[in-house]
Amino acid sequence: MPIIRKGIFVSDHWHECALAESVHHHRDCIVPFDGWIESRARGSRTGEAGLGILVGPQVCAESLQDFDPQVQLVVIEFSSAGDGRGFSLAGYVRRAGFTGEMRARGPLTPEQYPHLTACGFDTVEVPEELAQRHGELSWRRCFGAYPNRYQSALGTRASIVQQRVGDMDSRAAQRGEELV
Amino acid sequence: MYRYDEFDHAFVHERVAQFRHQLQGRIDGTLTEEEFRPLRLMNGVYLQLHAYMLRVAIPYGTLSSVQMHKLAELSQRYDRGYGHFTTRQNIQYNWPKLRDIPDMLNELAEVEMHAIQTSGNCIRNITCDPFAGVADDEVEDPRPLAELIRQWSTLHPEFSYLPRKFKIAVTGSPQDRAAVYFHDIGLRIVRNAAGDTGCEVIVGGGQGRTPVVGKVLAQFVAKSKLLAYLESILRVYNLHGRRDNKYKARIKILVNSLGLDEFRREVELDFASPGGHHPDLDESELARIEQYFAGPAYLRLPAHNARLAAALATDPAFGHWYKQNVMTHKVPGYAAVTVTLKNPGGIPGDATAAQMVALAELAERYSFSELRITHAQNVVLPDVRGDDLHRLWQALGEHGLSEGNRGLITDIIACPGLDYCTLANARSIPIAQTIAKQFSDPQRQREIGPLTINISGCMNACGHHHVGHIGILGVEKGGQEFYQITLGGDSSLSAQLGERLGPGFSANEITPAIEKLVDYYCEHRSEAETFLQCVRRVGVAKFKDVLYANYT
Ligand code: SF4
Repeated sequence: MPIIRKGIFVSDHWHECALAESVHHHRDCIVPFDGWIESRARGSRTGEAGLGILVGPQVCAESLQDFDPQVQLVVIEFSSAGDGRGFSLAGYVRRAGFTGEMRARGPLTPEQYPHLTACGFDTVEVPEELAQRHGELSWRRCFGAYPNRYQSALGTRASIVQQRVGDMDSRAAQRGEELV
Repeated sequence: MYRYDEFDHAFVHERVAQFRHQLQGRIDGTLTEEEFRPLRLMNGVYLQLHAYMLRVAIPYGTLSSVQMHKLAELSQRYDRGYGHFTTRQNIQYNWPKLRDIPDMLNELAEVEMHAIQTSGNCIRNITCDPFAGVADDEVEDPRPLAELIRQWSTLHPEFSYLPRKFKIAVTGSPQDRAAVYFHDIGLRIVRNAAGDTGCEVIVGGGQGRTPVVGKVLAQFVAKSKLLAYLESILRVYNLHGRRDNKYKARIKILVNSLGLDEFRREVELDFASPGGHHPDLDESELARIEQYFAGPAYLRLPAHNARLAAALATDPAFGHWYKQNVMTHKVPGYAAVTVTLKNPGGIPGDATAAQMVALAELAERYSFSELRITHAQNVVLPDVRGDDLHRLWQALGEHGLSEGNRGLITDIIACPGLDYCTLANARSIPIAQTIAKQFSDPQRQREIGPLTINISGCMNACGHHHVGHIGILGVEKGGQEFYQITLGGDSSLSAQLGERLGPGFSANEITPAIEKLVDYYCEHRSEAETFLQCVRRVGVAKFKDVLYANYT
């Protein structure tokens, strides 16, 4: 399925398989969340290559933590464009300190792209049919939409509120006032 | 009133540009109707029975004269010369052309208005006490918090695809005029023992098919923590609310199925989580917003006004209107005036372009250019000098706006019903019109006293029938419209849902049925007892017996 990063369609090297199988691969593998969490409980490792975890929309949010350094990718599934659970799950992953790639997978539209990036997603993976209809142009256009938002969320940009406050601080500084 | 800064302006303009682009996508076929639908809904565009409908947000019901002029202008340029004010303090245009909507939104943006999130499974327009900032019983003006919540909820990246719509109301007064017990989240500004103001948080109230009175989730949340607390509630709901059945998807169902204690535990777990994502509530930001609501430049006036007293003494019609439609103001010498959009025989909540212009001009002249829209589908001029009241009333009369029926039996709340709405089972508007005509005699209305009739055209309860002292619900049986009556509903702090009386009545029978209930009350009330008090004392069963005595 096509993958979009920063508004551009990119190719992908990740391979999807069961956890048991991933042990024999030297490639980077995406494994289901359940298998990963069980193996982690038993303390077993899965080989040298990078590990990706596939998180369904039903996964218990509190279990999204303790990502060891081998985990380089977290894929969060959206069952439909209207299934907003993934937006909240993303927050748990980021708050647990995961700094690797976070990917949204499902029948999502470019209009949702700004929300996805604001929630900390790096890449989006959409079904072939959707990618045909909403080409790179649409994704690229939406990538830059709403540069300023009211929420700081998990994106990197300062929110409108932060900018306002910063603005006031700098104006105060210009007037030689002390910052409070 | 709040004024946009450059960020707010840029944001709504960007939103308009986005919508224009989305509409283009729909026209050229890159967006399917299925994909376009949620996008247009999130921007307030519905497909009704006969046409598209645009719902414009009036955040917490506050409008300036300039904005009201614009609403009038839009109704003339793009619609049929009128607008419909709704029970959620919004305005709806019933006949715009889809291709004109981006231009309408653009004009709205110029006067700092928008249609963002007036529909869709997201956080909807924040509603508020229409007397915010002027009521004399207020702990604090709730509008700064409402504005803060408006901004925070606008295109919230995490909460734009909720299981279902989400409604938040805020009140700053112990008298509940915002129906906080009937919202997904209701906030009451309260003062704690230390003298600080914060919010009591009520959750899981609502009307619709499963009406529920909200429950207190937290007795006191400090303002600095409020957005974080709201985020925790929304997060628990977003993750755990049902998505398999739209009739079971509202937060009230989740709260009921988990139980209030378990729901609270989940919320507090998230709220307390270390490294938790606590959104911005910078105190300087709240202070920045608050300064916009400091209030107009009131004059020092005597509390007693000779001109007003003289007019009251000599003009009894004015006196009746004054008694019913004028509320005391926190500032001596001023009054808050309700202009009802409820001419008996008219459509509840409808205002013509000429009436909107008149209201805008009268607000300019008499009320510091400010207006409010109430959830009872009326308009408030919040800051009128006592000595201007008589002149204002006369001027209102020239536009058919001087009906002195606020809170009386003809001040009916009604949803659009089958005349417009695709979901409707029955018409609401003609029923409201017939009942109002039947009781149009002002003398009789005053004798009956406070009585609200609320009418919905289907179970979705947009006409708030569950909380009407008399509620009327339109249902369909064998291709015919029937109307079920509920009794004893109340949306104030003594919140209660009405009880259904029995089998429905046809459109022709419903007005006589209401007559029977009212007559029974008039005959059996004890002195000074209101309809609702009488129902509570005598019991719903008694009224039911009377209503169905000769029923076949
Ligand atoms: S109550 Fe029903 S008929 Fe009335 S506006 Fe709502 S959905 Fe439409």
